[in-house]
Amino acid sequence: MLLEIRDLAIDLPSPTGARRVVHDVSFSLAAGESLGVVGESGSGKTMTALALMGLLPDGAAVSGAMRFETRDLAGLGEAEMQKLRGDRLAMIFQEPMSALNPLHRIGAQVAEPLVLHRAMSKAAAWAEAVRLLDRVRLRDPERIARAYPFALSGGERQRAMIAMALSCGPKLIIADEPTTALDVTVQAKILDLLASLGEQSDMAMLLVSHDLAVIARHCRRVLVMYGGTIMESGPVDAVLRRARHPYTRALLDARPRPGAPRGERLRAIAGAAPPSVSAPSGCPFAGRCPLTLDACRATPLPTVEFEADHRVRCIRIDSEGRLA
Amino acid sequence: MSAPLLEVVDLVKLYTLARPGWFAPHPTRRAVDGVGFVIAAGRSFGVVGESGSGKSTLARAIMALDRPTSGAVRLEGRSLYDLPRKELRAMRAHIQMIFQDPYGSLDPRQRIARIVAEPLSNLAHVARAERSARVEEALRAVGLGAADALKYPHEFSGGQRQRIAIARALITRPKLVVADEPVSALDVSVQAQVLNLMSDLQREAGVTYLVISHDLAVVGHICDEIAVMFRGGFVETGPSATLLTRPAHPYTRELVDAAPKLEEAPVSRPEAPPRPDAATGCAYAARCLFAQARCLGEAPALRVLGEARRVACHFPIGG
Repeated sequence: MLLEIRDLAIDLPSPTGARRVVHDVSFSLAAGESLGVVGESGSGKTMTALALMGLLPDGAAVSGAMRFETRDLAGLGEAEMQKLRGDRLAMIFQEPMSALNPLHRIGAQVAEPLVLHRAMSKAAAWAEAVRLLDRVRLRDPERIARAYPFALSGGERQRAMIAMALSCGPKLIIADEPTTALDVTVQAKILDLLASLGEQSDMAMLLVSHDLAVIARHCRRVLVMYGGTIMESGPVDAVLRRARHPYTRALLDARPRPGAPRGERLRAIAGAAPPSVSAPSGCPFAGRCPLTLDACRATPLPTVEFEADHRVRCIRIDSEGRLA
Repeated sequence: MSAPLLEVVDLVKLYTLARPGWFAPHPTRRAVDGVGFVIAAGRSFGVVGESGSGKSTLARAIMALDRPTSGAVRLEGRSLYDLPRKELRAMRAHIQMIFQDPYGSLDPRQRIARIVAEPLSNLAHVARAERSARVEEALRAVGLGAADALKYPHEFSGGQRQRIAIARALITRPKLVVADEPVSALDVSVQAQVLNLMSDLQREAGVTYLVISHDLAVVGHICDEIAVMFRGGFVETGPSATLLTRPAHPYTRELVDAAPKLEEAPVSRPEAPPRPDAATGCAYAARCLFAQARCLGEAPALRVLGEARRVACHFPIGG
């Protein structure tokens, strides 16, 4: 396994004491594999991604194990983390404009990890940067390399970010809502590009998104997160076509279906997601879930396994997928 | 079909850009380029397009927030831009807006009662007693209680805030509600609540919507008719169901194919051969998979294509 997460929990400081935003998260990722993490705001998906990169806000406390290649990321100091970041591990953010430095040319920014991690000369790194910009299919890469971020469109900036992330040939790329700020036509192209680059170089991808359809299209496996923990996980096909967890089902039903009669009532999920889980006892979806029993709030979440690798955490569903 | 509630006639909005040299003329950009459509009372009309297509500029012109360069916007036959200032103010109460961001659009220091009652100040005179009755009625319509009127915005979740924004839009009993990306900032599970509420209000109170969004599924869900906007102009308009299932314009087709779907396998799309932007021809030609010589030389006009559909393309798909 390239990446193995066991019992990850994250506490963030707050005025009223530590707030647990992620708990009980375990998953693994093989080399070259693509894993999607889907969830709403407050589900803990972004915090999980940031924990992997060692980029959690100050004062955050992490427990559990995060084994990447041969190292436990949770035990690494900032200096060691810096050596990994941009080299073996890379991240792409939602808003490329805020992740790029407005005062430096694109070429210099794409070349920077090469100078830093590979000790390349500036000239050699620049030449490599132009090649990388070409690889992410930017037209006229020489011109783009000399340009400043403001001169590029949103899609071009995100491609430049991807070129930067790919510069050292990372084994794992973490993309947090990489296309949410982009137009749909651009979005599809960027995600197709990421997936094909991953296949070419045996790079694993962790794609974080609020959009199930985006993950269905670009990932092989998926984790569905809610209230700081995993509700359902498995191969994309199994989870989306044979969803077992009431939350995954509700999420699928709540979307407007293409081709449905106009104004058809959507099956909304009553209530709102919990802002955070202070005392994670029982299921975070209890209360909003139509199947809620008193026991849901008290019993720790079990893990029920169906066919190969398809897991659900719910006390109301048995291993046959029936109501227990 | 009843008489049109909203009529937009050949609307043009030019923006003047910085001049490239000291004595050079100011270049202009046609943000909205000759757009026209009508919405009948009680119906809903959607405008879909990418960022920069001019859809928000169009909304601002219809809201009378930004005077267009030419063209007319008529509400029940009265041209907004020909009205004296005082009458325009009264007219504004009949057009309300729902914004994208329910966090930024509600003043955090005001109680819900005051936020929701705010548009009433555009009406001639509403007595205080009636004011609070109207607030209660509007809150009830969106599924909130009278007790909520005394709370502050931070006490509500994103979905509830968007419902408060809708209550504010409804309090004047407006003839037209302009919704600019009404659910894009909301989580999927909450989007459904707000979309259901918008449909209910249309059915029960006969609200007319102009919905602006980049999301085809959302627009297709609420709207009877959709217009697809590209670089300031409509490239296709028609009934939602036909337009989404059988797009006639190659750009509509690109949008429909690009929208991620769970139900179908993705459509892989060949890249269009690189072509320079045509100065004279079709604005979409540079990206179009089907562009021919004629498309580069001559801009297609919006023309009727059966079934109440209009398309601006020399070679529409399936026609």
